[in-house]
Amino acid sequence: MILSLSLLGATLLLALGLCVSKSRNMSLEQWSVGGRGFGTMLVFLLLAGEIYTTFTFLGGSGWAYGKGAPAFYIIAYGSIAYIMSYWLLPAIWRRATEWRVVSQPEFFARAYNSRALGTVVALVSVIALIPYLVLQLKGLGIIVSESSYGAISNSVAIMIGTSAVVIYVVLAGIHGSAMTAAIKDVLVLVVVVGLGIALPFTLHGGIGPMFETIARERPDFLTLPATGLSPSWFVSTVLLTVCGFYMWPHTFGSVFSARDARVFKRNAVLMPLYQLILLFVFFVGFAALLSVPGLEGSDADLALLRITRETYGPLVVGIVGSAGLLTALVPGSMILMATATLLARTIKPTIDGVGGATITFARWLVPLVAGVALIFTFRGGDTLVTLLLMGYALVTQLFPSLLAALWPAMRVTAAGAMSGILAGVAVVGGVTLSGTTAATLFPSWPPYITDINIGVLALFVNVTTMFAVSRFARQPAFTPQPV
Amino acid sequence: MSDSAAATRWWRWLALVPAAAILAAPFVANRVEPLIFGLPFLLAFITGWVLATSAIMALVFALDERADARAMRLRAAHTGPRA
Repeated sequence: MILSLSLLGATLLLALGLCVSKSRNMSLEQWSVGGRGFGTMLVFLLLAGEIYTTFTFLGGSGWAYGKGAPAFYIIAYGSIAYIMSYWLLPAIWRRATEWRVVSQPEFFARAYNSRALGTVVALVSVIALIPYLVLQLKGLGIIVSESSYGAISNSVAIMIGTSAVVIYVVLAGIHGSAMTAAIKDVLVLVVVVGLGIALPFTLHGGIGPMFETIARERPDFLTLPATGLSPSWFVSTVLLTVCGFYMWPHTFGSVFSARDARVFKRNAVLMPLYQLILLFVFFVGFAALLSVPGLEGSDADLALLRITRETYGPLVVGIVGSAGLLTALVPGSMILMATATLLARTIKPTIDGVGGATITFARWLVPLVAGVALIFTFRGGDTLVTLLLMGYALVTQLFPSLLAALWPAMRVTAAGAMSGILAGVAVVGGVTLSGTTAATLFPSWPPYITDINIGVLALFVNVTTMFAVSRFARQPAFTPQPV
Repeated sequence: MSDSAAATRWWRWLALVPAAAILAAPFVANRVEPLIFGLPFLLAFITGWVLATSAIMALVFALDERADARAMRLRAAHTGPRA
């Protein structure tokens, strides 16, 4: 226990130390794309490791453990999103370059010639980033309390973790440390691939025999169920996630930092392969299903760390915990800073670009945003995957207006785009807060309809409102005046 | 000219194949048996199509690059004498 704790502490200090030294800084955009000036081989490793956030590390294994086959949606959506990116990202890039815009709200504001729309987009992003941040904080709590063998309780761990993230962000400023991110990428890659191979072999005689045992003991676990997380749920969730994939401020933002449009096409070829790294996370979850059964509900997220604890000594637990700590700390700090910057620019739009005043103001907002996230974190209950899907449902609402901006023939106006986004967000909010599903709304409908992800309903309301308002509330300026 | 160039890029439709296959997976491959390389059939099916996505996008990219190069040569040939 002392050993694993001191490893965790050392990792934290190293991360903080590296960002103070500021040897190499990077922006949020650079974090989600390779451009950090490392060699080709290292970049390959880094991109592979980058797939792993707290979500994939704990949430992916947790869902494989708790739900089985529905977790496979995580490798399914990436491929389709990358296919889409081959045409979508160059189209965004060309306009952004022509308009000289460098952020998502600016892009929308310029495309629709409406500053108000830019503000709405920024606010939606901020609201969507909160569950994403809560996810990292929850993960942080789980990692620290599990790797300390329970010596540090979950809530104390979350408090310490959040303070660490806040300090990290305030020290590192608007940039994170590229070196910390690189260490995280390599460490987590080694840990997950290592565990994903070692656990099935040491505990269950190999990956094939492990699945044979699961097929025998839990035959329903390796296929999608007929109701609930059924095929309709799978397809609708994959499509929804694909629509939201590039709508996050950081994924959208990564478009602007590219040198030319061919980069996106080459990425569309390579990136699907990286998704396969997630298979190892599933192997860990399935190995845990057989060896440490009984974690219910959101406790399923503990699966990876619990099986590590049961199988190996404190040294391995400490290393795995350190990798986990970094997967929460690096993206967590980036998200926190992005949220604060978005807020700062929205509240004080007069301050242009990345001027010093915005950054100072953004830093003041960091503890505030962290505080809000903390409140939601302690409200508890949701698994990491549920939180991510909530963020996706929100951020996806920007997708129809983006497509309309790229495709002027759709004749969508600023008012239409704004009403569509707001209507969609209102549906997501209402549904999330009241815990509604399609099954509770339409109990008599067959499951293949009611299992459809409720986010699709929000998207439908969004698109309908967008077209209706664009058509019927056309501003006088757009219609020719009769003489 | 760019319109006719886009129209002849039939290979772009190939990209729909892996996307459709992955979305169809729960309906056509929702089985455990047979295990392939030790993976349950549904997982193996999705994994196989993720690999295929990469291969197909590589093909689309290569064909696009070739067509772009040809279009560039044509344009150079057209504008060449005038310049």
